[in-house]
Amino acid sequence: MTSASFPRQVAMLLWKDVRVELRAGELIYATLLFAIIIVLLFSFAFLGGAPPTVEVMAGVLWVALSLSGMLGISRSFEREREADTLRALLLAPVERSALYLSKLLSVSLLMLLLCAVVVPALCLLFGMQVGDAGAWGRLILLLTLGILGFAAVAALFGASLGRARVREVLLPLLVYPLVVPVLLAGARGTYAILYGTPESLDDAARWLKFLLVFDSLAVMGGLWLFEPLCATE
Amino acid sequence: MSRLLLSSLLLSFVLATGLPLASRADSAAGAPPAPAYGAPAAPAAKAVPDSEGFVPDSRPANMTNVEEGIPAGPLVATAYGFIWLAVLAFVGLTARRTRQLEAEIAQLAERLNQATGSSPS
Amino acid sequence: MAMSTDPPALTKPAPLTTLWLLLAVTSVGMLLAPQLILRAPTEPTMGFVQRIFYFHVPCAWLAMLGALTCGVASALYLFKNSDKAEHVAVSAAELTVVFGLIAIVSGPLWARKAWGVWWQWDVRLTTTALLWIIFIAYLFARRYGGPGGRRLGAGLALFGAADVPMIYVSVSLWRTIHPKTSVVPTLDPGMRPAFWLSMVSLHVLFIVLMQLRVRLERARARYNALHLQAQDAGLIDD
Repeated sequence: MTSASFPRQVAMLLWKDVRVELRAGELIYATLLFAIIIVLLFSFAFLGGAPPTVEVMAGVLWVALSLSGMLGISRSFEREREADTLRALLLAPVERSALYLSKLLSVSLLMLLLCAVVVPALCLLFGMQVGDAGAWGRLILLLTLGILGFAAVAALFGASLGRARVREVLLPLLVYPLVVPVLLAGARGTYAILYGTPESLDDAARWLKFLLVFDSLAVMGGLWLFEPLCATE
Repeated sequence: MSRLLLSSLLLSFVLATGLPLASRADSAAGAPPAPAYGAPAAPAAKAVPDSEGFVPDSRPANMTNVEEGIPAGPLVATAYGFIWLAVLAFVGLTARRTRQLEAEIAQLAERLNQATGSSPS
Repeated sequence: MAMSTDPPALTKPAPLTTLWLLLAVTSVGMLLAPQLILRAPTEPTMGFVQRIFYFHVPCAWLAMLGALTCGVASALYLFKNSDKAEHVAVSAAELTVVFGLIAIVSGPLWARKAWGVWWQWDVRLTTTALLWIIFIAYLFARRYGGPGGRRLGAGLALFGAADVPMIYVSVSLWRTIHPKTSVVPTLDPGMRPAFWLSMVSLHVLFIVLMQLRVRLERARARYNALHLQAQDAGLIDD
């Protein structure tokens, strides 16, 4: 039996994940709602006095994204663990790297979906103004790169948590300290993009490059660590 | 194989992007602080740094309720004392656990010895 | 009667007498150090409180060294399946947490007097604090991570050790803060003996503590092996 090519393997695994998520629709909706609730909570905390600064909006965006993203990721890996599908996949003739990349991409898709909810919520509730198409393009690029970095770490550790009793608390504990550079770059980069002056756009470019480097290193780390870490399953 | 290929691609990418970035970060670190765009320049350069680069009155501008006259002696003594405390606590805990474990090992080895009639290595 | 498999051969840890000797040497060093520290010239701008620097800096450095050791040992454990490496990894992680704690306690005590604030978000402090947290998370993962906990921790240590430079770069891109935080590069010659004595004694202390902790891990491994033997022999039902 000839096994499929590498990109095809990734695509098949990714499509499987997407179909499973779509079927369990209510879980996605709950996570999206959670994201909106977080933005609401922040608006209670920050609004009412002086209008919130652009820095605050940038921060809220990334905190809301990472909190709701973590929830969604946690849940989706939990569901996989209950069905023991990960072990089945590890036994199947798929390349480990393909498995890791498909997990990374499915986590990223989930978080991009959350962005599609959080960003408009911020525009509505916080009066965030992004500007012209160029600014939107930059923002979307920044969000994508940040999400990829976050997902690279979360997919690795989410898959390797195994049957630990306290795994729900353990995942955030493991992932958040490692993704601090992403959150930092994301928040400061968003601030720079929203601010819009040539000087700040220079900074934004620097943050984007930083995220590219981080993402590359994180994905490399994930590719090499995925198999040893999942080996115990 | 794909793993190696992907990794080498990513690594070359990192080197191409990261090195110029890193050298810029170093030079940026020497620049005056600018955390907020368009914010009025904070009066950070009020006191001139001395030969060692230390600026005595360099606390953030809004921290005006800090007393100056804290005696340094207790601070140094506390810091030093803490080292001893931390190290002794670590040594104590480790030694205690090792002792307990070695006692249990001896017990278990004894039982095995009696049961099988030969000593485990 | 066939014996079940022997417990894994464990190389002998350093004999106890050596350890006690080293511990004595360290204690002498640490008792001598204050003498030298007190005799060192007073730093002109910061005054007496700067004396904390003599042990704050070595401890911060040792926390980094512990993190590096843990990362390398974790890599050996994950990729070469070396149990001995795993013992070294957990010991190094605990030492990172201990020395990191010392640095994080002594630093603010110094900063309170020198800068007027307990804490600042500058590059070194932020990176050290995050490094510390990562290795606390390591200890959590190893302890509460269930059967795969050691591998999980090792993955975290490896990723964490590699992540620290990234954290450093990102924070330094962000903050270009206020006063210089150290004066080590241009050290007054009068301060050097005190500084290097502290450095050396603390390094020896690090080695001694590592030895002690690794002994504990080896003892645990030996106990687990014996336990398995006992189970096989039917002495224990578990």
